Formats: sequence, C-alpha cells, structure tokens
Amino acid sequence: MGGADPDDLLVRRAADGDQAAFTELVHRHERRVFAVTMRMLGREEDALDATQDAFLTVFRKIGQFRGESAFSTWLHRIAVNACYDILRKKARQPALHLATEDDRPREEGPPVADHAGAVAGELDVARALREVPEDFRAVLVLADVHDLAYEEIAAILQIPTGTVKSRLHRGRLALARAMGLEAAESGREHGAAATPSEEP
Amino acid sequence: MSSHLSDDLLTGAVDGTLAPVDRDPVEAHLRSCARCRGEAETAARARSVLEALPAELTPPVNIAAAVVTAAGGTAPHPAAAPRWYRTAGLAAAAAAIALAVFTVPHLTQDEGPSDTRAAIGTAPQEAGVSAVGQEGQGAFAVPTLETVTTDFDHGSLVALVQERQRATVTPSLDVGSSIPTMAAASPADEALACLLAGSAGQIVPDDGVERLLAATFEGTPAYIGLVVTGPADDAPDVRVIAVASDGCRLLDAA
Repeated sequence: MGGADPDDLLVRRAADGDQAAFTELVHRHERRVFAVTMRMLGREEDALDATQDAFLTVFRKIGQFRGESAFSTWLHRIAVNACYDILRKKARQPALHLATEDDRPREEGPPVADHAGAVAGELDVARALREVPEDFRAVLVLADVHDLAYEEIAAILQIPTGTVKSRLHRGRLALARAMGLEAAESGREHGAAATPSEEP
Repeated sequence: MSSHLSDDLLTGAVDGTLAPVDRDPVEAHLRSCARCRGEAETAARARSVLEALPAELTPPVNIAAAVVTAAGGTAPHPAAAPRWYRTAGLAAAAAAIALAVFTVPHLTQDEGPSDTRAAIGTAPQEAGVSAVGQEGQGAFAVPTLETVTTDFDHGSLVALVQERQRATVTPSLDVGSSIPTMAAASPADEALACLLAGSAGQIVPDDGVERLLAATFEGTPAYIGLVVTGPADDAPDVRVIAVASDGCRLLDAA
C-alpha cells in the first residue's frame, strides 16, 4: 500500500478495533458499494442485504487485510462476492418458505436525493442488466458505471485483464441486445455472449 | 489479422485503449468490416447507457448504523462491552461475538417485521440501544461447532428437539474453546451469526443456542442450531433451526 491508499490509516485503526474509523470507512464507501450492488442485483432490498453483508464481512476480516491491494479493491471484491452469494441463494430457493421473509409489504421511504434521478430509463437499464450473465454483469458495472480500470477490475474479480476486456465486450453486447440497441450492421452471431466459459 | 476482431480488441477500440501496435490494424479492419464495425457501435451504445448511470447511490438506510448495530455496538474496549461479555471473560473479543449477537432478531421479537435488515434500516438508533441493553440473561454464548455427516430432514430436526426435551441436564457451554477475535471469527461464530441472520427472528439474543451443528439439510450444507429458551432445567422451550451455511437462508425449523 505504501501510504498511497487514502484509506490506509482508517483501515489500520479499524483493524485495531477503532469503531469510529470503521464507521468512517463505511461512510466513505457505502454509496459506491450500494451502487454496485444495486446494478448487480436490481432490487433495492437485495442490494441493501449485499451492502450490509459486505460491510459486516469487512468488519470481521479487516484484521486480515494485508494491504496487498487498495482497500477499495478489497471492498469491491467483497461486495461483488456478496452479490454472487445473494444471486446463488435466489437461484436455489428452498422449497420450504416460512412466512417470515418477503411476504410482507415493504415500507418504502421517500426517495433519497440520489434516487431522485431514478427515472424510467434507469429502470429499463436495471432490467436489462439482469439479463446479462452475472460474470459479464460484474465487469460491465465496474467498468462502465464505475469507470474502474481493467487492471483494477481484474484485481477485484481475480481474473486476467484480457478476460476483463472480453467479458466487457460480451457484456455490452448482451446489454445492448436486452435493450434493443443493436446497431444495424451488428450481424455477428453472439450466442457466445451467454457462455462465460468461452474466454481467453 | 484474423477475419474478425477479438472481443478484447473490440473493447480496446470502443474504449480507446488499444495498444499502439494494434491501433492502425484495428482501425483499418473496422473500416473494412461492417460486422465488427456494427459490434463496436453496439458496444459503444451499451457503454453510453451505463455511463449515464450514477456511480454512487445513497442507501435508503443508514448502513454504518446498521452494521455497527448488527455488531452490537462494536465494543473493542472492555469498558464499553455489555456485561455478559465481561463476565464471560471475553471482553477483548466482544466485537466479534457481538457480530454473532445479531441485534436485529431481537428487534423482531415483539413486532415481527419480516425483513431483518429492513428493521435495522427503519430504526437503527433503537436497535443500537437494544444492542447495548442486551445484558440480561448471560445465556448467549458460543457453543462449539459440531461437524456431523448427518443429512437432516424435518423429521430428524423434530427428533433433535425431542431428544433435548427429554434431557434434564443443564448444558455446559464451551465458551473458552472458541474465543473469537475481530480479525478472525471462529467457525462457530460464523455459524452462529448465520443462524441469527437467517432465523428471521426465531432466534433472539436472549436465547441460548445450545448446540451448533455443521451438517446438511436435505442435501444443502447447513448450520443447525438447537435453541433453548426459558429455564434450561425446567421444561425448556426447545427449537431447532436450520439455515443454509451458504447464504444463511432459513431452511427449516422444528
């Protein structure tokens, strides 16, 4: 880290059990993490679950964080993994569904300032993102919404940079298809877009 | 150059990040190949759509408060630790245990909101107060995580309950063997936190989790907690909760 990480001091203090430092880290990063989880999961309650899970994981494991990557890289990885966990959980809902979850109408608060711009267009994008295979979606969100460098995304997802770039292209094509944005000339059969295995 | 551009070169073309050595051949190819040009155009449209999205969204709940609340007020210093931590001699580990003592289910016991995190979100302050106020029973400690090969189903969960109901011995909790730390929660702490998170209010911090099993439930890797409430030696109320160890979703209860 070598002092280059702006979170370095807070991370060290939090690792020593300083709650205020931990809280400051949460405040510093929660909006980005929530944006990632919202784009990955599409539903606010899922995104909140993932965001909270991510920060709880940080809380539990911050003492193990060695600073080999930037804190934000580590946090993004935890957040993306929290999203994957929720997606996996949803993919195999147990047959037994006790009437304790999701059955009750949720009290939605008024939109927060940042949500005020959440217009229909955003909803369309959110819906389309859900049609993008998860592995592509993560790259797409980190690259195009969060403007992270390929190398940082590679570090977050622990995949080669070349794979980041190819997933990004396929993810973009999948999103464009889901939104009906394909260019007229775009005739290449990209069925492969749905098969993350076909990568470098 | 092969007949069409590879995916990573197309990304480079769209993003303007091509290596100098690739730039000219890729641009030449795009000029001559309608298919690759179309793909690049399609990808660029998708990129524009995504770039218009905000990179930050304010969560509609106070995440910091929720996490700190879920962590029981984070008590790295003995003076701030709830009494039962200190009496258990675990003050230094209070933070990690407090994590396991998910305050949220406590909130749910009276009002029964269905979503624990929604409960946190709507009343972080109250939850915080509840968290530190949880001094009472001293019953909530971390038993050893028993790993068993049994694949449970509802019937065997019921049998666990019945077996415990027949027993009259007050359980002794092996607290000392798994002193967690903030840095590395033990498997038992993880299991306990998972049970609390997944139990949707069926386990509250006042409850004693007497046994923790790592097993499977109908094939799904699961944590199974045997929860005893009420007087431990006089007709206790025994419940067994099974949650998926991956994701902590409630699987069954008996």
